[in-house]
Amino acid sequence: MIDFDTELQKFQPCLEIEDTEDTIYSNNDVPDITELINMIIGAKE
Amino acid sequence: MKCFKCGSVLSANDTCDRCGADVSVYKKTARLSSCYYNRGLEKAQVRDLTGAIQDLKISLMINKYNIQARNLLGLIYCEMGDVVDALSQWVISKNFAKNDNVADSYIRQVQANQTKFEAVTNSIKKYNISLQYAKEGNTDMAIIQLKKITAANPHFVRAYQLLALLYIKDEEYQRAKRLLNAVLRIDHSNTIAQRYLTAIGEEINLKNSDVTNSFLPKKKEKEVSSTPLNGNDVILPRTSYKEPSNGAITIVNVLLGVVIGAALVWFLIIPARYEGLTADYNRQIADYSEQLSSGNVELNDLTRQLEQVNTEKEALKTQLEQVNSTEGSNKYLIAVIESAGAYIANDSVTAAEKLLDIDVSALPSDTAKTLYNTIASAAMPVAANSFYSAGMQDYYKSAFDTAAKNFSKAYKCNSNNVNAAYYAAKCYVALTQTDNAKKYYQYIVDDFPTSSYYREASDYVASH
Repeated sequence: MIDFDTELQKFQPCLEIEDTEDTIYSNNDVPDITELINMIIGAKE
Repeated sequence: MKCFKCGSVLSANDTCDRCGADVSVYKKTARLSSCYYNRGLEKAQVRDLTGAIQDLKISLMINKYNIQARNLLGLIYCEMGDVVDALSQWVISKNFAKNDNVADSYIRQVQANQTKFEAVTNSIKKYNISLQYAKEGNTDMAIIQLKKITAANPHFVRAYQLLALLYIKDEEYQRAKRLLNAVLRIDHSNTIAQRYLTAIGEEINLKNSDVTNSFLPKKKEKEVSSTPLNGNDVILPRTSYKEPSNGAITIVNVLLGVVIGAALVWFLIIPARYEGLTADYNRQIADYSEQLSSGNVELNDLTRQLEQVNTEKEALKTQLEQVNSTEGSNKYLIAVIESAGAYIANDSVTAAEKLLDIDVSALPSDTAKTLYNTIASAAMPVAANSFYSAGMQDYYKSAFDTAAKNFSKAYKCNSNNVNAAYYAAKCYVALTQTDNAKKYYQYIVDDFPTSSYYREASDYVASH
């Protein structure tokens, strides 16, 4: 049987229109795997 | 594929032809990202949106510049009701690739209908509030809000899921099933919806087994299709109406309706009608009373006016009688005329005698007053002497009555004649008319203080 409280905790608030700016700008700061590999290779060289 | 350093188009070599950078790893990661994008696209095409999101997120985690993957992820978010998440992905996409980017078209389409956009963003805010309500234990408020949200934004998968969870908590499994089926129509492989449906099935089976094992008769359970509905299915609302089973019940129902109708007419309509009639009668009576009162007032006014008119009439009548009769001013006028006649006939005594009792101020005209004064000035002195002589003759004859009258007339004709007053008083004393005697003595006391008769007069006045 479903545990209501456990399931409820899995639900997270949706992104609201006022918070989109932070999300968009923070995305630029997060490197993807390609960038990480290139950084690692660059560091070795 | 372009070089991550200089942006030039890469060849089949593992190094960039322009800048010489090693692009072997970059090529492998870019291919891997594209591979996940392809998987996501395939899943999205069969409406496995949850699976597609997972693959597209991996694709973007490997290469965040994968524009196609990002645009598709935004499109899937939009389909699942997360419009703000979709917009975020498309804005990032447009930031990475400003030209020839389909994200630009998506953003414009979303922003074209501002009313709908605001409704959707409001539903997202309400969802967050509902989630807060649910976590605080206020599930009733959460359910009310979520019902409105699902009506306003019918693709909002997360709202359906949360509402279904709340229904499951309240053991309203049929409603929860309907919602979860709606979720599966949007996202065929939605993990949460499938898990909840499985749990609901187990719960229903458990309850059925409990009922089977009990001594109570088995309750009929309606079969609810667990397969998702397609677009052509029609959902009919549940109704409690049932057709009557036989004709007798119908007749009884009709008779009951007639009885209730008659009772309503008798107890509600007829009293109201009687009440209306009574009110009309009362209103008419009040009108008549008012008219009667105003009539009485007018009658009283007219009666009072009539009385005034009668009074005035009587007064005028009296005045007319006085004018027409020999009384009042008319009497004095006649006396003046008779006096004038006697004076013309050289009878000064009669002329003066006629004037003796006239009140000059009561004469009606100045002409009459002038005539009076003319006759009086001419006849009075002569008449005074004549009356006095006659009085003396009567006095010596002891005819005191006649003598008193003559002395009185003589005094009236000439008020300076103290002798006339004295002998008039003496005559009245002889006639024992004390008041008249006292009156003439008083004249002497008042007007002739130097007279020889003064002491006698004053003594008489003082002693009587």
